Amino acid sequence: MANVNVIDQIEKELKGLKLKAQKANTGVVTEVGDGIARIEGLSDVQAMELLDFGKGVFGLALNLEQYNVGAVIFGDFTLVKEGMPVKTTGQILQVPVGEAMVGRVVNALGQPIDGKGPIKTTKHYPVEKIAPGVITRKSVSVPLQTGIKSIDALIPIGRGQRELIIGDRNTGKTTIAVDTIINQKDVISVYVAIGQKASKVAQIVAKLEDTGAMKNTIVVAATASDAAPMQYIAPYTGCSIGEYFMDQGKDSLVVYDDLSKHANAYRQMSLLLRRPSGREAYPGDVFYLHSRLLERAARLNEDYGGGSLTALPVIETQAGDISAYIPTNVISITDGQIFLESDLFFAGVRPAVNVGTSVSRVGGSAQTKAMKAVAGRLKLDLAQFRELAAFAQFSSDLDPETKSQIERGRRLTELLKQPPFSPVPLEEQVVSLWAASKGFLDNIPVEKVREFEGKYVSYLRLKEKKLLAEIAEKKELSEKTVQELEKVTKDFLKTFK
Amino acid sequence: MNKKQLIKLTNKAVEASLSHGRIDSAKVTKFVKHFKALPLHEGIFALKIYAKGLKRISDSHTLFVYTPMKVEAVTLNKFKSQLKKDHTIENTEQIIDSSLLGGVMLKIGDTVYDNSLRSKIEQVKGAIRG
Repeated sequence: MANVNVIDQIEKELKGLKLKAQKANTGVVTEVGDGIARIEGLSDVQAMELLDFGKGVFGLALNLEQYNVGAVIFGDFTLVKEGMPVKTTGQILQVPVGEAMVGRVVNALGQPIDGKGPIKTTKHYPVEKIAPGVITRKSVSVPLQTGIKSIDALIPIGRGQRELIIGDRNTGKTTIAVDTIINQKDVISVYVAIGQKASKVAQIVAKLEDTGAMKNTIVVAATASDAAPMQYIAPYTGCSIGEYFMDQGKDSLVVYDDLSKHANAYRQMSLLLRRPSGREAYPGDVFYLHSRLLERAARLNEDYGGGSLTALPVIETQAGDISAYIPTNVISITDGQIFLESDLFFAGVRPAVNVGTSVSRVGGSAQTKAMKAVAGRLKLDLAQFRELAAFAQFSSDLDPETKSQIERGRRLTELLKQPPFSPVPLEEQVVSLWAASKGFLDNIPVEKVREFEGKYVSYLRLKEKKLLAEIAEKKELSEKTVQELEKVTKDFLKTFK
Repeated sequence: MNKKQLIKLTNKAVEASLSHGRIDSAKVTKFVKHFKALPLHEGIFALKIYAKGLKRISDSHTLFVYTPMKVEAVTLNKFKSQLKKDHTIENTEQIIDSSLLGGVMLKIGDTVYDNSLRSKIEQVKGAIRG
């Protein structure tokens, strides 16, 4: 019975098949090594065209010279030998896209690597695509809630924005990105892992599955053991996958973790292709490498579906040097940056966001009214605290006003701390920050601030569900809501020890 | 002379060896004499690139007919006349390749027209695999 089914299936596949003579442009491999092949012939090849080396090995034509072509090989380059015929496929590199990709882990060519079987999709998008033009875009005005208090309040991200996450190793960059993905409900997320350890990618996938976020997420993995061309292509693959959802009128988020390794892979490829090198041995077009990727993030206007693609590129700095080549390139491209500092991390401020130097160029346009109402005061209080931070050790000699500003700042800093993989919904963020900005925390010891926050929010969830729901729905703090909050908070304070 | 300059010079010599798109043997002899006059290692390198270049030109005007068994001259002429619209064909060469299983594969320059049974089996394979 099973055999009959297989035969039926094969017959079905072959029914509409028309066998015809094939025309191809061919060449011969003259040199191969380190993932690069030099091919003689291929007179009609296009730049970025997919080449077929046979034995299931494909490559990409990158260097078009007068009589030979330099190509990068995807996959096992040891299968490619000198003298092998190569033919063009007539296709620019494309990847599969569609709803079927959601929940899957794929490689840089869009092939599944999670062992859950083939991905059934008929749609393909080119890996390299021109970014949406000015006329097709709309300004960013809808917030992308990360669930991280310090970011949503002080460095708000909007849908369609590019916000860079930059910091030294082990400062929590990936944690911020993963928290953001976990917090998304109606946004399709794409996490692109470039040059990372496979074990780390597996941990991230496991975390996303545990939190249920994987059902809205696609993971594109080009790990450290993958060839440089795969690491080079991976971000563009992720972007194309996200663009499909944007074109359907949906909102999508793409995290590129991280573009420093992407630049390294591109440098490796370019040097092997004997392209002229520039500063720090990077090729001259390393800026264009990232600018054409990040420009594809956009919010489209209603005429073009109204979808959006938000980009969160990650850059790893060395010893906090944000004036290095690649970091400055990407900073100049993005619409803001979130600086993570090792000093803050080791001081226990986690997420280790330096709110003073971090910025979102979209700003309040990407915040709800409720958050705007509390964020303004928060920003001011924290700015004043930073100015006075140096005097904190002399608190016994200071005037009462200065002392109170310092104490307020300490409590706000403590309030902004958050455990990893625990995004906070908007309404809970708003009520906590409102309570702090109104001075309700001023008499709470600093070490008890987070306990207060936890119990306060639980109290509201239990006794004032309607209030939280109203803030979540209307996304603003009306006078009536504020009055109710004041009453509830005063009542809670009496019970809190 | 460095390698890059030598390659540039040799490629120019290849282009200059043509008369009306065809290889001129008198010019080839002249250039070979010039290359032989170069220092030994440069001369060997230049002659290698030159020969490659001439072969490339020659192959671009030669129709290679791959068949699993020998075909008549009439058939070869038919192929030639079909392709003459798009390509300049000066010579025709027949190569027996039993791995084709059937049909014919035509190659001129870098362009290959594959109507062999082997290629059709590959297409069927690809369709079954999806």
